Amino acid sequence: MRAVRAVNAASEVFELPSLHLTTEHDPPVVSLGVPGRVTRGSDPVLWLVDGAVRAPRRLSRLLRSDALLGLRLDPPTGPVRLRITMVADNLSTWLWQNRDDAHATPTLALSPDVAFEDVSRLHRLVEVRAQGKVRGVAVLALRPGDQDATTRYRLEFDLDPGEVDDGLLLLDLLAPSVRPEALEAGLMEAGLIGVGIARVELFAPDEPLEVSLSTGRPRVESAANTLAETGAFLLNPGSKDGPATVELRRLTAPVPAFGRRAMLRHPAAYVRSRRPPPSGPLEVEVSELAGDVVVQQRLEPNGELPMRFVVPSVSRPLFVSVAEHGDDQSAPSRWRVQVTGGRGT
Amino acid sequence: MPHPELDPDAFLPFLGVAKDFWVDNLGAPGERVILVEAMSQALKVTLRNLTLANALRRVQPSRVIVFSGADEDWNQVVWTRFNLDEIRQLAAAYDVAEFFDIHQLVDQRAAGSSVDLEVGGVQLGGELPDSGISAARFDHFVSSTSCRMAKVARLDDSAEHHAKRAHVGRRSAEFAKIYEALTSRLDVVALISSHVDYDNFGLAVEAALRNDVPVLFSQSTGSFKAYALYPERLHGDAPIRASITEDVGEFFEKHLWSNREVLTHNSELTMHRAKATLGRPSWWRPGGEHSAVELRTQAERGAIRRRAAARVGLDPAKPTVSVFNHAISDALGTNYEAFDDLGEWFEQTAEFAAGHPEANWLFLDHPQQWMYDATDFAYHVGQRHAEHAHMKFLPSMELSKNFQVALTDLVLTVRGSVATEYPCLGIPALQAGWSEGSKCGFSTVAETPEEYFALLSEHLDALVSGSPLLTAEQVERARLYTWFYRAASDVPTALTQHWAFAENGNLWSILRIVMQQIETDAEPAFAAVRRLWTRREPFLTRFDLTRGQAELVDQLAPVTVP
Repeated sequence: MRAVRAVNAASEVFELPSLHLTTEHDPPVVSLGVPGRVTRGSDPVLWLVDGAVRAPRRLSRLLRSDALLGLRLDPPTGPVRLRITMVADNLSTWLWQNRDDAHATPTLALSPDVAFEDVSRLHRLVEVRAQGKVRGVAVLALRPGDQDATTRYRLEFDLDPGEVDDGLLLLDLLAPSVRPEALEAGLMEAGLIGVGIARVELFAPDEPLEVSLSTGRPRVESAANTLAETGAFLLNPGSKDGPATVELRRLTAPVPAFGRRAMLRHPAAYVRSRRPPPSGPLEVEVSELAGDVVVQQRLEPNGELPMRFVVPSVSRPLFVSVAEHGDDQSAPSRWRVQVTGGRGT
Repeated sequence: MPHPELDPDAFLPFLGVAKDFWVDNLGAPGERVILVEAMSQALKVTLRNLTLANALRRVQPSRVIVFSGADEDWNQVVWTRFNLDEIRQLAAAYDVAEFFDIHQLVDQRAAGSSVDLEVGGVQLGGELPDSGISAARFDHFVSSTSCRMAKVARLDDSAEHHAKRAHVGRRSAEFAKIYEALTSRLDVVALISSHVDYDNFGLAVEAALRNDVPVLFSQSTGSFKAYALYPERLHGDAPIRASITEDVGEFFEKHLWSNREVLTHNSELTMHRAKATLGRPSWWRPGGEHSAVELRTQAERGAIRRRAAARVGLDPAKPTVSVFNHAISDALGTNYEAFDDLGEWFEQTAEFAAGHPEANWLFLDHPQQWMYDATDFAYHVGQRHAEHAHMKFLPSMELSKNFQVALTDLVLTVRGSVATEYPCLGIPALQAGWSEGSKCGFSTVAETPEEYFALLSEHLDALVSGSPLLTAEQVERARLYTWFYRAASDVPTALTQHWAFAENGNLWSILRIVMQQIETDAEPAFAAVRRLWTRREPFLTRFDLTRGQAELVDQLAPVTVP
């Protein structure tokens, strides 16, 4: 086969010599410095969208299961931390439920009388890559009662200066192709569709980034994350590779009584009858995005004390599945999750 | 998509105002006739045809005769809501002298029923002599219409296709006789038609031109666009659209390219807007940002090319040839084409590609193929080549325009608008046939299969060796042609408004206000038609492009640079 000569040796892509993409009327190139943030689709820093649209009040809305956002940055001279805020809200649900209307151009506005599908037991998974490297995975699980009818996840990761030396930052957003069984049930098909990218922020880090969690239910009932009904969550890497300790604390506070039932019985009796039974052992499985299992452990309960396990290395996003074995599976426990580590050894 | 319902609260008041408007803006009709086609379901099309006719009546006093209607095939395959009554009401408001349902007449005649219908004093219901159309040209109309109605690339020997062809043939024969009678027995100033293809539209155009009647070919895009076909400019058995190609090429060279110095900034602005899909022709791919071009540099293109190639499964280090499939039953043979049909071009290009793995081959199916193909034609061609990793077959809308531009290094088409669009970006195009702009010097055109494959081989060699296939001049020509298409030949008249105004929206309310409130002196539609008709120009123009640079600048009213 003939060798192709017009290949850029550095980038290893074919370059067309006659290419002429610009016009006299193209606006000036605008790039984002450090610190900086881009929050609106109209911001010229957002130079390209694919599988998404520019949003009027956020950065972008994803419309396909494989989306790409291109941002122009001033080539950084030092380490840079990037924070991307993802949201799921009613507009996300509306765009998702109309995803099969192939001939329609989506409008990013809700009419007052629109009817939403029930997504209260469903969740979305969003894998984030920057410059082609996986940086983290988000679980987004919108629930009734969420403030502003919105749930958010902020993913942070560090970029080395050499990663953006041409000033072009490419963020890929896609659905992880392999998921643990715990996340399959309730996973929204084509769940990326409708996800909002609220903003992208850049800043110079002043301390190492810790391993972070994505459970789908951030700061709902306490300062830490609680698991959604899925029983699974994500560990997203910190600045440095290293072990991370995951702590699971069973929530014993009863489900509050509402309405007529609260009037019929003595409140104390009602609370006692709603208290979840003691949990059994927890089966924990930690797996790579590709599916390889890296940790499998059985955690024995110790009264009301939290259960802990160690993940030796969180240099990349990991799925964690937690399965409870107890006498009464009709009232599964609710768990609060915390993680420490990832600052390196 | 379903055709929108009209709002009677807007439409009916408009009709009353329009009736008064045309009383004030037309003179006595005279004895000559303008024939106007009104066979599209979109009232916006008939609006343009009637506006053209009445503008022409101001230059050449005439009566207007409208022929309308639809048949079962068209209602099944093309239209979703054809409303003859609404079309009739619109025609009446535009001072039409006579209106008849030609499809109904054809059905009755084809069934052997006797009909008494006199139009313009010509009895159309009884015996009519055969048309003078040649057998070959008649067969072309029957064949192309049958393919469109059957939604196939070509007819085969099946009983179904034989029956379809026979049915279309019977109706076509009646259409031909009726059109022959009207264009030969009446003193016809012009025929105004929104299409020049298929039996119902095309046979009228053919008869008109053969009987020395010019045709004004209105366009379903922009504000007010039309080409003119003059009998004296046709050559022998040339396809109907061939004269448009030649006239546009000649005019482009004489009045646009020769004045490019004063037109560069305008064409650059049009190109800037075109990249953002602003001002796109109405039938181009939709999708907002999905169809916008945001790449600016080789580096950006390279970064996106890697992504696009990975998604599609191609090698970003190889040149990519993008083959843009046509809507396979769309107006077959309407201009010179190297292959027997659009499907044959696609199939044979795929066969060629199979033997040329030094390039990637991306076969993109037309965004509206579902309206034109009932056979999954492109899918089956793709299946035949499934083992070739360097060939990929995709629906065009699966890839954003950014991804397509990032990947494409050579465009292949027969007559598609991609042959303009990509050269504007410095990406060469090879056509296997003529299109409206194919004589403006920015694409390469092959006229036979042998020439096509020879040129294709040369293009591949050039890509592999890194030799440029497009000059800076050709890019400039493509951009100037784009400006011509979207600006210079689009008349911004308030009497039709832009195509983007919806029929079920506020179009009729706006037209009512226009007709009531705006004086018609120097009305752009009237001036443009007058200019076209008195000078025999090949298309409507926004302003006079023939008066030299100083006058051009004056009319363009450009931004003054300090």
